[in-house]
Amino acid sequence: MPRLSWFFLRGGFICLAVGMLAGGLILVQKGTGRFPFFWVLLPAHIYLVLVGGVTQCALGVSYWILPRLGPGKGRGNTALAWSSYWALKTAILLVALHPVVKIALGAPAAGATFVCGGVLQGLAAAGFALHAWPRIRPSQTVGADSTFSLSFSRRHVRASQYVCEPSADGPKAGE
Amino acid sequence: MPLLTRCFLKTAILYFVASSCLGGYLLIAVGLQHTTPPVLQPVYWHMLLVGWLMQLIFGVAYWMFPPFAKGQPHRYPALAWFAYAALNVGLLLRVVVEPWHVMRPQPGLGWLLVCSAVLQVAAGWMFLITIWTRIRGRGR
Repeated sequence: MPRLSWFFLRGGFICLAVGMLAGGLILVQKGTGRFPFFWVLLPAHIYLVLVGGVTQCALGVSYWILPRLGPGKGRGNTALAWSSYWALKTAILLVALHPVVKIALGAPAAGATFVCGGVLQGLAAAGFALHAWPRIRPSQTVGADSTFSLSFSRRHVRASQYVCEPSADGPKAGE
Repeated sequence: MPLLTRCFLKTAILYFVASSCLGGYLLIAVGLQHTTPPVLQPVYWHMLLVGWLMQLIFGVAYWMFPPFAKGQPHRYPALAWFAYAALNVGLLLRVVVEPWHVMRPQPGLGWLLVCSAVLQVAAGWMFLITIWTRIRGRGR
């Protein structure tokens, strides 16, 4: 698994867990009728689960399993993918901190975190799209359709009925 | 494919069908201009996102991420099973109790929602602990 996928996936699972915690607090409010201020967490809950969790996991796995561009070219413009990662991470952090900003600095400042987060999210999406676009193409070598399974482990490859050879495409065995 | 992944994926598919039926009903109601209890909206979204999408992610991650060690593909398998059970019991509790609590409130019923919250949050964190050491690799 490449380092960027690792970062995306670890970040994604942390966001899922933190987003679920925020949602749990809102559910506690629904059940008990106490702590109405927990509702300030609603935008952070939705954003952390959908963008922070689901989207980051999808981007992490895409970066890992999409076919490579060929010998010597690897995964293409990795700087673009890394920029996308940092932009998305900053956007998530801004939205997650929105309740704190709202309590400390008021609604206009909290609104500004949404604006900055939105801009950064858009840039992140565009950056990752530009990076991934050329990698979405037909596989070039025999067995490349099975490269998805190559990423699991050598054990899976041995168990496969197909003849799989590590190629320039997709993730390599043991990654 | 490990047994836990099969359980996650099959449960996820059941939630996909159930949430799609509920979503379809809500959509038809909007089209026919019938009113539906507003509490069904959060129930629908959580069945779709937690029951279907999140369980799909958990199941596939548990299956395809690099093994923890040679001869030991999964670290803390008992914890992963706990996450599966807690997530599903918690979600089912929410799906049943939330509309009930809103439409026919009874004393003590709300605490079941608190239990649901605790179970789902615990499931998320348990799965994070289980999968954490398997998210690793090499190269850029």
